[in-house]
Amino acid sequence: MSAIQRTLFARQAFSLLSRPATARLAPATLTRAVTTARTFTASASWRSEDSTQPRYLFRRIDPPAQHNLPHQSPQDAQQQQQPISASHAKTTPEAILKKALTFVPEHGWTTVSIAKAAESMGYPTIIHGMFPKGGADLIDYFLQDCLERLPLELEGRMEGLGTQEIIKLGTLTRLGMIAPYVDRWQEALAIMGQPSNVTMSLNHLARIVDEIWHLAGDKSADMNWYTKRASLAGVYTTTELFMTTDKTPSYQATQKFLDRRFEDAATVGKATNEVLQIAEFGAKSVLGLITSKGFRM
Amino acid sequence: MASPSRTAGFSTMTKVLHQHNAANNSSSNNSTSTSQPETHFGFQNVPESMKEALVKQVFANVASKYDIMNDVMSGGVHRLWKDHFMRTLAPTPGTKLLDVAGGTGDIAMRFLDYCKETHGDSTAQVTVFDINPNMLEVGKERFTKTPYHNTSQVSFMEGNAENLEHIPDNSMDAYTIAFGIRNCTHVDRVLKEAYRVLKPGGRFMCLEFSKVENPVISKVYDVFSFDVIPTMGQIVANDRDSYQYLVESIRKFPPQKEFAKMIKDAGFTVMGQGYEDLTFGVAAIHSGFKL
Repeated sequence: MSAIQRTLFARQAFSLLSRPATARLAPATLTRAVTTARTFTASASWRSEDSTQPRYLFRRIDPPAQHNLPHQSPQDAQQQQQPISASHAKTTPEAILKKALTFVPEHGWTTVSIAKAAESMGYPTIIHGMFPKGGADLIDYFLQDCLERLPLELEGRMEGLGTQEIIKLGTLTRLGMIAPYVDRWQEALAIMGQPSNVTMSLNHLARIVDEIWHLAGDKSADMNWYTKRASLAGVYTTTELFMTTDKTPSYQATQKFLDRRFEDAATVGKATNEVLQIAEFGAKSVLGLITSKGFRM
Repeated sequence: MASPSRTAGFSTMTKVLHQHNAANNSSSNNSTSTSQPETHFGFQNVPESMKEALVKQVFANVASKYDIMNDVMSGGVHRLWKDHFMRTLAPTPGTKLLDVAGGTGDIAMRFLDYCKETHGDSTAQVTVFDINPNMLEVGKERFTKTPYHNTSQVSFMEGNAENLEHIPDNSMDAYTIAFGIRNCTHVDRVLKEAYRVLKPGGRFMCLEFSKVENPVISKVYDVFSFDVIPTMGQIVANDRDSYQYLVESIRKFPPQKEFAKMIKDAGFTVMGQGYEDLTFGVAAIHSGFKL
Protein backbone atom coordinates (compact mmCIF):
# COMPACT_ATOMS: atom_id res chain seq x y z
CA MET A 1 0.00 0.00 0.00
CA SER A 2 1.48 3.31 -0.95
CA ALA A 3 1.70 6.26 1.42
CA ILE A 4 -1.18 7.98 -0.34
CA GLN A 5 -3.35 4.92 -0.04
CA ARG A 6 -2.48 4.68 3.62
CA THR A 7 -3.52 8.25 4.21
CA LEU A 8 -6.76 7.73 2.32
CA PHE A 9 -7.43 4.64 4.32
CA ALA A 10 -6.81 6.42 7.59
CA ARG A 11 -9.19 9.19 6.51
CA GLN A 12 -11.85 6.68 5.60
CA ALA A 13 -11.43 4.93 8.93
CA PHE A 14 -11.79 8.26 10.67
CA SER A 15 -14.86 9.23 8.68
CA LEU A 16 -16.45 5.99 9.81
CA LEU A 17 -16.10 7.03 13.41
CA SER A 18 -17.45 10.51 12.85
CA ARG A 19 -20.41 9.47 10.68
CA PRO A 20 -23.74 8.31 12.16
CA ALA A 21 -24.08 4.57 11.87
CA THR A 22 -27.24 4.85 9.82
CA ALA A 23 -25.68 7.01 7.13
CA ARG A 24 -25.46 5.35 3.76
CA LEU A 25 -22.99 6.25 1.11
CA ALA A 26 -23.84 6.62 -2.54
CA PRO A 27 -22.77 3.38 -4.26
CA ALA A 28 -20.32 5.16 -6.54
CA THR A 29 -18.54 6.83 -3.62
CA LEU A 30 -18.41 3.56 -1.82
CA THR A 31 -16.84 1.64 -4.62
CA ARG A 32 -14.23 4.31 -5.04
CA ALA A 33 -13.51 4.38 -1.34
CA VAL A 34 -13.02 0.64 -1.26
CA THR A 35 -10.82 0.46 -4.29
CA THR A 36 -8.51 3.19 -3.07
CA ALA A 37 -7.88 1.33 0.13
CA ARG A 38 -7.32 -2.00 -1.55
CA THR A 39 -7.81 -3.27 -5.03
CA PHE A 40 -10.61 -5.77 -5.01
CA THR A 41 -11.40 -8.02 -7.88
CA ALA A 42 -14.78 -6.97 -9.04
CA SER A 43 -17.50 -9.42 -8.19
CA ALA A 44 -21.19 -9.27 -8.87
CA SER A 45 -22.01 -11.94 -6.37
CA TRP A 46 -20.88 -10.32 -3.14
CA ARG A 47 -24.44 -9.48 -2.12
CA SER A 48 -25.75 -13.00 -2.47
CA GLU A 49 -22.61 -14.35 -0.79
CA ASP A 50 -23.31 -12.11 2.15
CA SER A 51 -26.90 -13.21 2.42
CA THR A 52 -25.87 -16.84 2.77
CA GLN A 53 -23.68 -15.95 5.74
CA PRO A 54 -25.03 -15.97 9.27
CA ARG A 55 -26.14 -12.54 10.37
CA TYR A 56 -23.37 -12.26 12.91
CA LEU A 57 -19.78 -11.83 11.94
CA PHE A 58 -18.10 -14.47 14.01
CA ARG A 59 -19.01 -17.95 15.04
CA ARG A 60 -17.31 -20.03 17.62
CA ILE A 61 -14.89 -22.47 16.09
CA ASP A 62 -12.90 -25.09 17.94
CA PRO A 63 -9.31 -24.20 17.24
CA PRO A 64 -7.49 -26.78 15.15
CA ALA A 65 -4.10 -27.83 16.45
CA GLN A 66 -2.14 -25.52 14.19
CA HIS A 67 -3.90 -22.54 15.71
CA ASN A 68 -1.84 -22.90 18.85
CA LEU A 69 0.30 -19.90 19.54
CA PRO A 70 3.86 -21.11 19.68
CA HIS A 71 6.04 -20.04 22.57
CA GLN A 72 9.00 -18.83 20.60
CA SER A 73 12.20 -17.17 21.56
CA PRO A 74 13.09 -14.11 19.46
CA GLN A 75 16.04 -16.04 18.05
CA ASP A 76 13.70 -18.77 16.83
CA ALA A 77 11.46 -16.15 15.34
CA GLN A 78 14.40 -14.53 13.63
CA GLN A 79 15.55 -17.83 12.19
CA GLN A 80 12.09 -18.57 10.92
CA GLN A 81 11.87 -15.12 9.43
CA GLN A 82 15.17 -15.48 7.66
CA PRO A 83 13.99 -16.90 4.34
CA ILE A 84 10.77 -14.89 4.37
CA SER A 85 11.99 -11.42 5.17
CA ALA A 86 15.38 -11.67 3.50
CA SER A 87 14.07 -9.57 0.67
CA HIS A 88 12.74 -7.05 3.17
CA ALA A 89 16.19 -6.52 4.69
CA LYS A 90 18.03 -5.62 1.50
CA THR A 91 18.84 -2.12 2.63
CA THR A 92 20.96 -1.70 5.69
CA PRO A 93 18.79 0.66 7.76
CA GLU A 94 16.21 -2.13 7.91
CA ALA A 95 18.88 -4.74 8.57
CA ILE A 96 19.90 -2.79 11.67
CA LEU A 97 16.31 -2.67 12.94
CA LYS A 98 15.89 -6.37 12.18
CA LYS A 99 18.95 -7.11 14.26
CA ALA A 100 17.72 -4.72 16.96
CA LEU A 101 14.64 -6.91 17.44
CA THR A 102 16.87 -9.61 18.94
CA PHE A 103 17.88 -7.13 21.66
CA VAL A 104 14.30 -6.14 22.49
CA PRO A 105 13.68 -8.81 25.17
CA GLU A 106 16.69 -7.50 27.08
CA HIS A 107 16.70 -3.76 26.37
CA GLY A 108 13.13 -3.09 25.30
CA TRP A 109 11.85 -0.96 22.43
CA THR A 110 14.58 1.60 22.90
CA THR A 111 17.47 3.34 21.22
CA VAL A 112 19.69 1.10 23.35
CA SER A 113 18.48 -1.96 21.42
CA ILE A 114 19.27 -0.18 18.15
CA ALA A 115 22.70 0.89 19.37
CA LYS A 116 23.47 -2.66 20.58
CA ALA A 117 22.43 -4.06 17.20
CA ALA A 118 24.64 -1.56 15.39
CA GLU A 119 27.53 -2.47 17.65
CA SER A 120 27.07 -6.18 17.02
CA MET A 121 27.15 -5.48 13.28
CA GLY A 122 30.41 -3.60 13.63
CA TYR A 123 28.96 -0.12 13.27
CA PRO A 124 29.71 2.73 15.64
CA THR A 125 26.78 3.43 17.96
CA ILE A 126 26.49 6.97 16.61
CA ILE A 127 24.42 5.38 13.83
CA HIS A 128 21.43 5.41 16.21
CA GLY A 129 20.81 8.91 14.80
CA MET A 130 19.45 7.15 11.74
CA PHE A 131 16.33 6.38 13.77
CA PRO A 132 15.55 9.60 15.61
CA LYS A 133 12.27 8.22 17.00
CA GLY A 134 14.12 5.31 18.59
CA GLY A 135 11.64 2.78 19.97
CA ALA A 136 8.78 4.03 17.77
CA ASP A 137 10.89 3.51 14.64
CA LEU A 138 11.72 0.00 15.83
CA ILE A 139 8.04 -0.79 16.51
CA ASP A 140 7.07 0.67 13.13
CA TYR A 141 9.55 -1.65 11.44
CA PHE A 142 8.34 -4.66 13.44
CA LEU A 143 4.68 -4.04 12.62
CA GLN A 144 5.46 -3.54 8.95
CA ASP A 145 7.46 -6.77 8.93
CA CYS A 146 4.59 -8.65 10.60
CA LEU A 147 2.15 -7.33 8.04
CA GLU A 148 4.30 -8.60 5.20
CA ARG A 149 4.84 -11.98 6.87
CA LEU A 150 1.17 -12.65 7.60
CA PRO A 151 0.02 -13.73 4.11
CA LEU A 152 3.18 -15.78 3.68
CA GLU A 153 2.63 -17.62 6.95
CA LEU A 154 -0.98 -18.32 6.10
CA GLU A 155 -0.21 -19.50 2.60
CA GLY A 156 -1.62 -22.97 2.01
CA ARG A 157 -3.24 -23.10 5.46
CA MET A 158 -6.49 -21.48 4.49
CA GLU A 159 -7.79 -24.02 1.99
CA GLY A 160 -11.18 -25.42 2.84
CA LEU A 161 -11.71 -22.97 5.69
CA GLY A 162 -14.75 -20.73 5.91
CA THR A 163 -14.60 -16.98 6.31
CA GLN A 164 -14.88 -17.04 10.10
CA GLU A 165 -12.25 -19.74 10.38
CA ILE A 166 -9.83 -17.77 8.29
CA ILE A 167 -10.50 -14.64 10.32
CA LYS A 168 -9.75 -16.55 13.47
CA LEU A 169 -6.68 -18.24 12.04
CA GLY A 170 -5.42 -14.90 10.75
CA THR A 171 -5.96 -13.19 14.09
CA LEU A 172 -4.24 -15.97 16.00
CA THR A 173 -1.32 -16.12 13.58
CA ARG A 174 -0.87 -12.38 13.80
CA LEU A 175 -1.05 -12.44 17.60
CA GLY A 176 1.51 -15.25 17.56
CA MET A 177 4.03 -12.91 15.98
CA ILE A 178 4.05 -10.87 19.18
CA ALA A 179 4.78 -13.94 21.29
CA PRO A 180 8.60 -13.60 21.18
CA TYR A 181 8.30 -10.06 22.56
CA VAL A 182 5.27 -10.55 24.78
CA ASP A 183 7.08 -9.48 27.96
CA ARG A 184 7.95 -6.19 26.26
CA TRP A 185 4.68 -5.68 24.44
CA GLN A 186 3.04 -3.51 27.11
CA GLU A 187 6.00 -1.20 26.73
CA ALA A 188 5.44 -1.17 22.98
CA LEU A 189 1.74 -0.37 23.47
CA ALA A 190 2.66 2.50 25.78
CA ILE A 191 5.01 3.92 23.15
CA MET A 192 2.35 3.44 20.47
CA GLY A 193 -0.13 5.31 22.67
CA GLN A 194 2.02 8.42 22.90
CA PRO A 195 0.40 11.31 21.03
CA SER A 196 3.17 11.63 18.47
CA ASN A 197 2.89 7.93 17.59
CA VAL A 198 -0.88 7.50 17.55
CA THR A 199 -1.16 7.99 13.78
CA MET A 200 1.42 5.31 13.16
CA SER A 201 -0.30 2.91 15.58
CA LEU A 202 -3.80 3.38 14.18
CA ASN A 203 -2.46 3.01 10.68
CA HIS A 204 -0.91 -0.32 11.55
CA LEU A 205 -4.06 -1.53 13.34
CA ALA A 206 -6.14 -0.61 10.29
CA ARG A 207 -3.77 -2.48 8.03
CA ILE A 208 -3.72 -5.57 10.24
CA VAL A 209 -7.51 -5.96 10.23
CA ASP A 210 -7.74 -5.04 6.56
CA GLU A 211 -5.14 -7.67 5.71
CA ILE A 212 -6.97 -10.36 7.69
CA TRP A 213 -10.34 -9.55 6.10
CA HIS A 214 -8.71 -9.42 2.71
CA LEU A 215 -7.15 -12.85 3.23
CA ALA A 216 -10.58 -14.12 4.24
CA GLY A 217 -11.74 -13.02 0.81
CA ASP A 218 -13.90 -10.12 1.97
CA LYS A 219 -15.37 -8.32 -0.99
CA SER A 220 -17.95 -6.15 0.74
CA ALA A 221 -18.55 -2.70 -0.67
CA ASP A 222 -21.03 -1.10 1.69
CA MET A 223 -21.07 0.01 5.33
CA ASN A 224 -20.22 -3.59 6.13
CA TRP A 225 -16.72 -2.94 4.90
CA TYR A 226 -16.23 -0.54 7.78
CA THR A 227 -18.11 -2.39 10.50
CA LYS A 228 -16.31 -5.64 9.79
CA ARG A 229 -12.96 -3.96 10.13
CA ALA A 230 -13.86 -1.87 13.14
CA SER A 231 -15.28 -4.93 14.85
CA LEU A 232 -12.17 -7.01 14.19
CA ALA A 233 -10.00 -4.08 15.29
CA GLY A 234 -11.81 -4.12 18.63
CA VAL A 235 -11.42 -7.88 19.03
CA TYR A 236 -7.78 -7.72 18.00
CA THR A 237 -6.81 -4.85 20.33
CA THR A 238 -8.49 -6.31 23.39
CA THR A 239 -7.07 -9.78 22.80
CA GLU A 240 -3.62 -8.32 22.27
CA LEU A 241 -3.91 -6.51 25.61
CA PHE A 242 -5.09 -9.69 27.30
CA MET A 243 -2.18 -11.61 25.80
CA THR A 244 0.39 -9.35 27.45
CA THR A 245 -0.79 -10.59 30.86
CA ASP A 246 -1.31 -14.21 29.87
CA LYS A 247 1.10 -16.63 31.51
CA THR A 248 -0.65 -19.89 30.58
CA PRO A 249 1.22 -22.40 28.41
CA SER A 250 0.64 -21.94 24.68
CA TYR A 251 -1.44 -18.87 25.55
CA GLN A 252 -4.50 -21.06 26.17
CA ALA A 253 -6.17 -18.26 28.16
CA THR A 254 -5.65 -15.86 25.26
CA GLN A 255 -7.22 -18.32 22.86
CA LYS A 256 -10.22 -18.73 25.14
CA PHE A 257 -10.44 -14.98 25.52
CA LEU A 258 -10.39 -14.59 21.76
CA ASP A 259 -13.15 -17.20 21.43
CA ARG A 260 -15.29 -15.25 23.86
CA ARG A 261 -14.68 -12.00 21.96
CA PHE A 262 -15.76 -13.60 18.70
CA GLU A 263 -18.77 -15.03 20.51
CA ASP A 264 -19.64 -11.61 21.89
CA ALA A 265 -19.36 -10.12 18.46
CA ALA A 266 -21.73 -12.79 17.21
CA THR A 267 -24.39 -12.60 19.94
CA VAL A 268 -24.64 -8.84 20.06
CA GLY A 269 -25.76 -9.10 16.48
CA LYS A 270 -25.96 -5.44 15.65
CA ALA A 271 -22.42 -4.84 14.65
CA THR A 272 -22.60 -1.12 15.12
CA ASN A 273 -23.53 -1.33 18.80
CA GLU A 274 -20.90 -3.84 19.51
CA VAL A 275 -18.29 -1.82 17.69
CA LEU A 276 -18.92 1.08 20.04
CA GLN A 277 -18.76 -1.14 23.09
CA ILE A 278 -15.57 -2.82 22.07
CA ALA A 279 -14.03 0.44 20.96
CA GLU A 280 -14.91 1.93 24.33
CA PHE A 281 -13.51 -1.07 26.15
CA GLY A 282 -10.40 -0.95 24.00
CA ALA A 283 -9.91 2.77 24.57
CA LYS A 284 -10.41 2.36 28.32
CA SER A 285 -8.00 -0.52 28.48
CA VAL A 286 -5.38 1.34 26.49
CA LEU A 287 -5.84 4.43 28.66
CA GLY A 288 -5.60 2.35 31.79
CA LEU A 289 -2.50 0.67 30.54
CA ILE A 290 -0.89 3.93 29.55
CA THR A 291 -1.62 5.58 32.88
CA SER A 292 -0.33 2.51 34.67
CA LYS A 293 2.90 3.03 32.77
CA GLY A 294 3.21 6.48 34.24
CA PHE A 295 1.93 8.57 31.35
CA ARG A 296 -0.50 11.31 32.23
CA MET A 297 -3.46 11.91 30.00
CA MET B 1 26.12 47.86 -2.48
CA ALA B 2 29.47 47.29 -0.80
CA SER B 3 31.05 50.61 -0.11
CA PRO B 4 34.78 49.95 -0.09
CA SER B 5 36.09 50.86 3.31
CA ARG B 6 38.94 48.50 3.78
CA THR B 7 41.12 47.68 6.68
CA ALA B 8 44.84 47.16 6.33
CA GLY B 9 44.42 43.41 6.83
CA PHE B 10 42.03 43.26 3.95
CA SER B 11 44.40 44.60 1.36
CA THR B 12 45.62 41.18 0.22
CA MET B 13 42.17 40.08 -0.67
CA THR B 14 41.21 43.23 -2.49
CA LYS B 15 44.52 43.26 -4.33
CA VAL B 16 43.97 39.74 -5.58
CA LEU B 17 40.49 40.64 -6.66
CA HIS B 18 41.63 43.79 -8.41
CA GLN B 19 44.25 41.90 -10.36
CA HIS B 20 41.66 39.39 -11.36
CA ASN B 21 39.12 42.01 -12.38
CA ALA B 22 41.72 43.84 -14.43
CA ALA B 23 42.63 40.64 -16.21
CA ASN B 24 38.97 39.94 -16.80
CA ASN B 25 38.29 43.39 -18.23
CA SER B 26 41.17 43.25 -20.63
CA SER B 27 39.98 39.95 -21.98
CA SER B 28 36.28 40.72 -21.81
CA ASN B 29 35.93 40.69 -25.60
CA ASN B 30 37.28 37.19 -25.70
CA SER B 31 35.67 35.44 -22.78
CA THR B 32 36.86 31.99 -23.79
CA SER B 33 40.48 33.01 -23.30
CA THR B 34 40.36 32.19 -19.59
CA SER B 35 41.49 28.60 -19.51
CA GLN B 36 40.68 28.03 -15.86
CA PRO B 37 37.18 27.12 -14.68
CA GLU B 38 35.55 29.78 -12.57
CA THR B 39 33.69 29.55 -9.31
CA HIS B 40 31.70 31.98 -7.22
CA PHE B 41 33.16 34.10 -4.47
CA GLY B 42 30.13 35.80 -3.06
CA PHE B 43 28.36 37.27 -6.09
CA GLN B 44 31.59 37.60 -8.08
CA ASN B 45 33.18 34.99 -10.25
CA VAL B 46 36.80 34.13 -9.65
CA PRO B 47 39.11 31.43 -11.02
CA GLU B 48 38.84 28.27 -8.93
CA SER B 49 42.44 28.44 -7.81
CA MET B 50 41.88 31.86 -6.30
CA LYS B 51 38.84 31.17 -4.13
CA GLU B 52 40.77 29.33 -1.45
CA ALA B 53 43.13 32.25 -0.88
CA LEU B 54 40.27 34.72 -0.84
CA VAL B 55 38.27 32.73 1.69
CA LYS B 56 41.39 32.32 3.77
CA GLN B 57 41.77 36.06 3.81
CA VAL B 58 38.14 36.63 4.83
CA PHE B 59 38.48 34.38 7.83
CA ALA B 60 41.91 35.74 8.76
CA ASN B 61 40.16 39.11 8.95
CA VAL B 62 37.18 38.03 10.97
CA ALA B 63 38.83 35.40 13.23
CA SER B 64 39.30 37.53 16.34
CA LYS B 65 35.75 38.91 16.17
CA TYR B 66 34.15 35.77 14.73
CA ASP B 67 32.23 34.58 17.78
CA ILE B 68 31.05 38.01 18.90
CA MET B 69 29.94 38.81 15.36
CA ASN B 70 27.94 35.59 15.20
CA ASP B 71 26.14 36.66 18.36
CA VAL B 72 25.48 40.16 17.08
CA MET B 73 24.31 39.09 13.65
CA SER B 74 22.06 36.22 14.73
CA GLY B 75 20.90 37.64 18.04
CA GLY B 76 22.43 34.60 19.70
CA VAL B 77 20.33 32.17 17.66
CA HIS B 78 23.43 30.49 16.22
CA ARG B 79 24.03 29.10 19.72
CA LEU B 80 20.59 27.47 19.70
CA TRP B 81 21.26 26.03 16.26
CA LYS B 82 24.57 24.60 17.39
CA ASP B 83 23.04 23.16 20.57
CA HIS B 84 20.31 21.54 18.52
CA PHE B 85 22.91 20.30 16.07
CA MET B 86 24.75 18.54 18.90
CA ARG B 87 21.56 17.07 20.37
CA THR B 88 20.70 15.72 16.93
CA LEU B 89 24.12 14.13 16.60
CA ALA B 90 23.67 12.76 20.16
CA PRO B 91 27.21 11.37 20.40
CA THR B 92 27.63 8.13 22.34
CA PRO B 93 30.53 7.51 24.75
CA GLY B 94 33.91 7.23 23.04
CA THR B 95 32.79 8.84 19.78
CA LYS B 96 35.62 10.06 17.56
CA LEU B 97 34.63 13.27 15.85
CA LEU B 98 36.27 15.20 13.07
CA ASP B 99 35.01 18.77 13.17
CA VAL B 100 35.94 20.37 9.88
CA ALA B 101 36.01 24.14 9.53
CA GLY B 102 35.68 24.18 13.29
CA GLY B 103 38.51 26.62 13.99
CA THR B 104 37.09 28.53 16.90
CA GLY B 105 36.07 25.31 18.63
CA ASP B 106 32.37 26.08 18.96
CA ILE B 107 31.19 22.63 17.91
CA ALA B 108 34.12 20.79 19.50
CA MET B 109 33.39 22.36 22.88
CA ARG B 110 29.70 21.47 22.65
CA PHE B 111 30.61 17.93 21.63
CA LEU B 112 32.91 17.31 24.60
CA ASP B 113 30.46 19.01 26.98
CA TYR B 114 27.61 16.86 25.67
CA CYS B 115 29.59 13.65 26.20
CA LYS B 116 30.61 14.74 29.68
CA GLU B 117 27.21 15.96 30.81
CA THR B 118 25.06 13.27 29.21
CA HIS B 119 27.23 10.18 29.61
CA GLY B 120 29.88 11.28 32.12
CA ASP B 121 32.23 10.24 29.36
CA SER B 122 35.78 11.48 29.03
CA THR B 123 36.90 9.16 26.26
CA ALA B 124 35.27 11.02 23.39
CA GLN B 125 37.77 12.65 21.05
CA VAL B 126 37.52 15.55 18.68
CA THR B 127 39.90 16.77 15.99
CA VAL B 128 39.36 20.42 15.18
CA PHE B 129 40.26 20.87 11.56
CA ASP B 130 40.52 24.19 9.79
CA ILE B 131 42.24 25.69 6.80
CA ASN B 132 42.86 28.90 8.66
CA PRO B 133 45.59 29.15 11.33
CA ASN B 134 44.04 32.37 12.68
CA MET B 135 40.75 30.63 13.38
CA LEU B 136 42.58 27.65 14.94
CA GLU B 137 44.46 30.03 17.23
CA VAL B 138 41.16 31.37 18.55
CA GLY B 139 40.03 27.79 19.21
CA LYS B 140 43.25 26.78 20.96
CA GLU B 141 43.04 29.87 23.10
CA ARG B 142 39.50 29.00 24.10
CA PHE B 143 40.41 25.43 25.07
CA THR B 144 43.27 26.53 27.34
CA LYS B 145 40.61 27.72 29.79
CA THR B 146 38.89 24.33 29.95
CA PRO B 147 39.71 20.97 31.58
CA TYR B 148 40.07 19.51 28.06
CA HIS B 149 43.27 21.50 27.55
CA ASN B 150 46.30 19.27 26.96
CA THR B 151 44.29 16.05 27.05
CA SER B 152 43.92 13.51 24.26
CA GLN B 153 40.29 14.60 23.94
CA VAL B 154 41.01 17.52 21.70
CA SER B 155 43.56 18.09 18.95
CA PHE B 156 43.97 20.71 16.26
CA MET B 157 44.90 20.20 12.65
CA GLU B 158 45.40 22.65 9.82
CA GLY B 159 44.42 21.65 6.31
CA ASN B 160 42.02 21.79 3.42
CA ALA B 161 38.66 20.01 3.74
CA GLU B 162 38.98 18.88 0.13
CA ASN B 163 42.05 16.87 0.99
CA LEU B 164 42.17 15.18 4.41
CA GLU B 165 45.39 13.36 3.52
CA HIS B 166 46.63 13.06 7.11
CA ILE B 167 43.47 11.36 8.26
CA PRO B 168 43.26 7.63 7.49
CA ASP B 169 40.30 5.92 5.79
CA ASN B 170 37.48 4.62 8.00
CA SER B 171 38.83 6.26 11.13
CA MET B 172 36.07 8.60 12.31
CA ASP B 173 32.67 7.92 13.91
CA ALA B 174 31.30 11.30 13.00
CA TYR B 175 32.17 14.20 10.72
CA THR B 176 30.67 17.62 11.36
CA ILE B 177 31.03 20.82 9.41
CA ALA B 178 29.19 23.89 10.69
CA PHE B 179 28.95 27.03 8.57
CA GLY B 180 32.01 25.95 6.62
CA ILE B 181 31.10 23.93 3.58
CA ARG B 182 29.78 26.86 1.52
CA ASN B 183 33.25 28.42 1.64
CA CYS B 184 34.87 25.40 0.01
CA THR B 185 35.67 25.55 -3.68
CA HIS B 186 34.61 21.99 -4.53
CA VAL B 187 31.80 20.85 -2.26
CA ASP B 188 31.70 17.45 -3.98
CA ARG B 189 35.36 16.80 -3.09
CA VAL B 190 34.69 17.76 0.52
CA LEU B 191 31.84 15.23 0.67
CA LYS B 192 33.98 12.56 -0.96
CA GLU B 193 36.71 13.05 1.62
CA ALA B 194 34.15 12.99 4.43
CA TYR B 195 32.89 9.67 3.10
CA ARG B 196 36.42 8.30 2.94
CA VAL B 197 37.47 9.11 6.51
CA LEU B 198 34.20 7.96 8.13
CA LYS B 199 33.92 4.43 9.46
CA PRO B 200 31.10 2.35 7.97
CA GLY B 201 28.09 3.37 10.05
CA GLY B 202 29.59 6.79 10.65
CA ARG B 203 27.55 9.95 10.38
CA PHE B 204 28.12 13.05 8.30
CA MET B 205 26.39 16.14 9.62
CA CYS B 206 26.43 19.61 8.22
CA LEU B 207 25.03 22.82 9.67
CA GLU B 208 24.82 25.51 7.03
CA PHE B 209 22.84 28.53 6.02
CA SER B 210 20.15 27.57 3.61
CA LYS B 211 17.19 28.86 1.66
CA VAL B 212 14.17 30.53 3.24
CA GLU B 213 11.12 29.39 1.25
CA ASN B 214 8.47 31.62 2.85
CA PRO B 215 8.35 34.73 0.60
CA VAL B 216 7.52 37.20 3.38
CA ILE B 217 10.22 36.03 5.74
CA SER B 218 12.58 35.72 2.82
CA LYS B 219 12.11 39.44 2.04
CA VAL B 220 12.82 40.49 5.61
CA TYR B 221 15.80 38.17 5.72
CA ASP B 222 17.22 39.69 2.52
CA VAL B 223 17.04 43.22 3.87
CA PHE B 224 18.66 42.07 7.08
CA SER B 225 21.43 40.19 5.24
CA PHE B 226 22.38 42.75 2.67
CA ASP B 227 21.82 46.00 4.55
CA VAL B 228 22.14 45.25 8.24
CA ILE B 229 24.87 42.63 8.44
CA PRO B 230 27.58 44.39 6.36
CA THR B 231 26.92 47.60 8.28
CA MET B 232 27.20 45.79 11.58
CA GLY B 233 30.38 44.20 10.27
CA GLN B 234 31.74 47.64 9.68
CA ILE B 235 30.76 48.93 13.08
CA VAL B 236 31.73 45.95 15.23
CA ALA B 237 34.67 44.52 13.31
CA ASN B 238 35.58 47.48 11.11
CA ASP B 239 35.36 45.23 8.08
CA ARG B 240 32.45 45.53 5.67
CA ASP B 241 33.75 43.50 2.73
CA SER B 242 34.31 40.29 4.65
CA TYR B 243 30.72 40.33 5.93
CA GLN B 244 29.47 41.29 2.49
CA TYR B 245 31.16 38.13 1.23
CA LEU B 246 29.63 36.04 4.05
CA VAL B 247 26.05 37.03 3.22
CA GLU B 248 26.61 36.69 -0.52
CA SER B 249 28.13 33.24 -0.17
CA ILE B 250 24.99 32.14 1.71
CA ARG B 251 22.87 32.97 -1.35
CA LYS B 252 25.21 31.11 -3.67
CA PHE B 253 25.08 27.88 -1.68
CA PRO B 254 22.69 25.24 -3.13
CA PRO B 255 19.23 25.04 -1.48
CA GLN B 256 18.31 22.18 0.87
CA LYS B 257 17.10 19.61 -1.66
CA GLU B 258 19.97 20.13 -4.05
CA PHE B 259 22.54 19.80 -1.28
CA ALA B 260 20.80 16.68 0.06
CA LYS B 261 21.15 15.19 -3.40
CA MET B 262 24.86 16.02 -3.45
CA ILE B 263 25.24 14.18 -0.15
CA LYS B 264 23.45 11.17 -1.62
CA ASP B 265 25.60 11.32 -4.74
CA ALA B 266 28.71 11.17 -2.56
CA GLY B 267 27.52 7.72 -1.44
CA PHE B 268 25.83 8.55 1.84
CA THR B 269 22.59 6.92 2.92
CA VAL B 270 20.07 9.64 3.61
CA MET B 271 17.01 9.07 5.79
CA GLY B 272 13.77 10.74 4.71
CA GLN B 273 14.32 14.08 3.01
CA GLY B 274 17.80 14.22 4.53
CA TYR B 275 17.66 17.62 6.18
CA GLU B 276 15.94 19.64 8.87
CA ASP B 277 15.18 23.35 8.52
CA LEU B 278 16.03 25.68 11.40
CA THR B 279 14.34 29.07 11.82
CA PHE B 280 12.30 28.98 8.56
CA GLY B 281 15.25 27.55 6.64
CA VAL B 282 17.71 30.32 7.46
CA ALA B 283 19.91 27.39 8.43
CA ALA B 284 19.52 23.66 7.85
CA ILE B 285 21.01 20.47 9.25
CA HIS B 286 21.90 17.93 6.60
CA SER B 287 22.72 14.41 7.56
CA GLY B 288 24.01 11.26 5.87
CA PHE B 289 25.28 7.87 6.95
CA LYS B 290 28.07 5.82 5.46
CA LEU B 291 26.84 2.24 5.19
